[in-house]
Amino acid sequence: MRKLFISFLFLSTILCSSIIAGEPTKDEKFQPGDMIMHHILDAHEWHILDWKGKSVSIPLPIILFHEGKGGSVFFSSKFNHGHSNYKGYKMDHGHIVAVNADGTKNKIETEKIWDLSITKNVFSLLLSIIILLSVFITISNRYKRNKNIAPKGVQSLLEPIIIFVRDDIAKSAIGEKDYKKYLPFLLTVFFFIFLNNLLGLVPFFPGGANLTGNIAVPMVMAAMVFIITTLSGKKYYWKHIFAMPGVPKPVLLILTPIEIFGVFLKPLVLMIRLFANITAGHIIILSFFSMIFIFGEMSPLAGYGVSIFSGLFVLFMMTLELLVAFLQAYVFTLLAAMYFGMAVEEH
Amino acid sequence: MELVKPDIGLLFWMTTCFIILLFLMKKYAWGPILAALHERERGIQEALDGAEGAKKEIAEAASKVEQMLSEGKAEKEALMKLAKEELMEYKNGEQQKINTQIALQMQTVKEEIEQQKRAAVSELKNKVAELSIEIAEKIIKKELRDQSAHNELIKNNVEDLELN
Repeated sequence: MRKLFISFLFLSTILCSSIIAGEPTKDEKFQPGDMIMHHILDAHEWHILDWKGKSVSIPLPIILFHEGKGGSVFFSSKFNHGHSNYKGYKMDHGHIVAVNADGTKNKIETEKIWDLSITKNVFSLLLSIIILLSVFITISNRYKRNKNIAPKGVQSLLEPIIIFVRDDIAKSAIGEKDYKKYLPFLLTVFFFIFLNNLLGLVPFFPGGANLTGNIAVPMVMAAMVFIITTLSGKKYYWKHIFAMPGVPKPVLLILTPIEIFGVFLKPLVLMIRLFANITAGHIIILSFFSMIFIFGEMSPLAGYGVSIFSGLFVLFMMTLELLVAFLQAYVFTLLAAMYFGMAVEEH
Repeated sequence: MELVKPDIGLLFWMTTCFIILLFLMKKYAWGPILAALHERERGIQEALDGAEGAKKEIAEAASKVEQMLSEGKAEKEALMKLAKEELMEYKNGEQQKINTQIALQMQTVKEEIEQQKRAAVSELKNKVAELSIEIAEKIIKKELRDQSAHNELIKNNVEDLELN
């Protein structure tokens, strides 16, 4: 536990120093809102830094499916950071749009584009999946090899977390009888969120994508929770939604719509909670950095002065975010488990 | 608004990849890990139960030993008591035997003495009679005049002797 804490502190220090190094330095007036949104939103290229007015970034593959025209795959470097057109497509504020011959946006054709590009977030998603699979399959091989030997290395770090998810989330929320069925999903969700929250805090290349803070990711997971809950709902669960026992008929007229609404509201809240927490954390940290440049534009001295204060605050926020990374993974998994528990409850 | 508008691309990749991840993790990671954890926990529980059982057995054995010891002690005491009693009885018997024997021997000795005494007395009587006869002879020989007076005297003398 102490080792873990020290490595957390160490990690957070690195994170802070690296973000300072990676700030864009543009000639025009600094726009904190734009900078923050740029960091939080998805992108078709992995922007690393601006160097002498030129942006240095890693190009990512663009995969487009155009209705009636077929698919096309190319690197995002072809767009030249949004300055050039390629194959009749153009990058417009982070979105790929179809263009006419004269270079203007073609709205009708743009509607037909399905953008399945490996964006920054998709790249991060794939990376996290590779990390998860390699780590857990390695561990699982060790478990398979020697069943009765004390855990070692990463195994001993992750084993308590696995047991925590099993005993304190799944078993306590779902119950002894049914928890085994949902455990693989809960464990996967937990470690996926936890890892991606942590990766999101790493400011340089393989990390820094705001994956769990992108609404699409919690949306998919919340949708899965909704589907699983609905499919495993037993008589008791549905009875409590459509005809709450012990409630007079007139009250049911009001209660039943609320309950039905609640069925959809629960996963929705699950989605918004994760998305908002992670995004907010990123926004706060970036805002503190923005202050350095806002003051720096007034006078360099003020910038330096504020940077100490900002740095300290970001260090604090980063440490807090490490806690939030775990907490949000825990909350999401726990609530999912509770919804499953409600669905399978029997009397 | 851009922030809360999900991207179709990311939705697609997330759904596909997450389902694949879920499947692979379930099959290759969670299955073996959870099975191994369960196995290990079971092993530990069994070992604990075994230890508990062994402890109980040891306690049982100890109590048995204790019981055997106390039983042995009681038996020993009983035996000792019995032996003592028997010894006492034997001693008493032996004593009695000796006493009877002594008494018997004493009786014999007494009888013998009595017999001897009687024999001696009778011998003495005979001797006295002989002596008396001798004396009488002598007297008769010497003085045969007053025979009746002398006989009277002898008779008295003999009677006196007999009283002894």
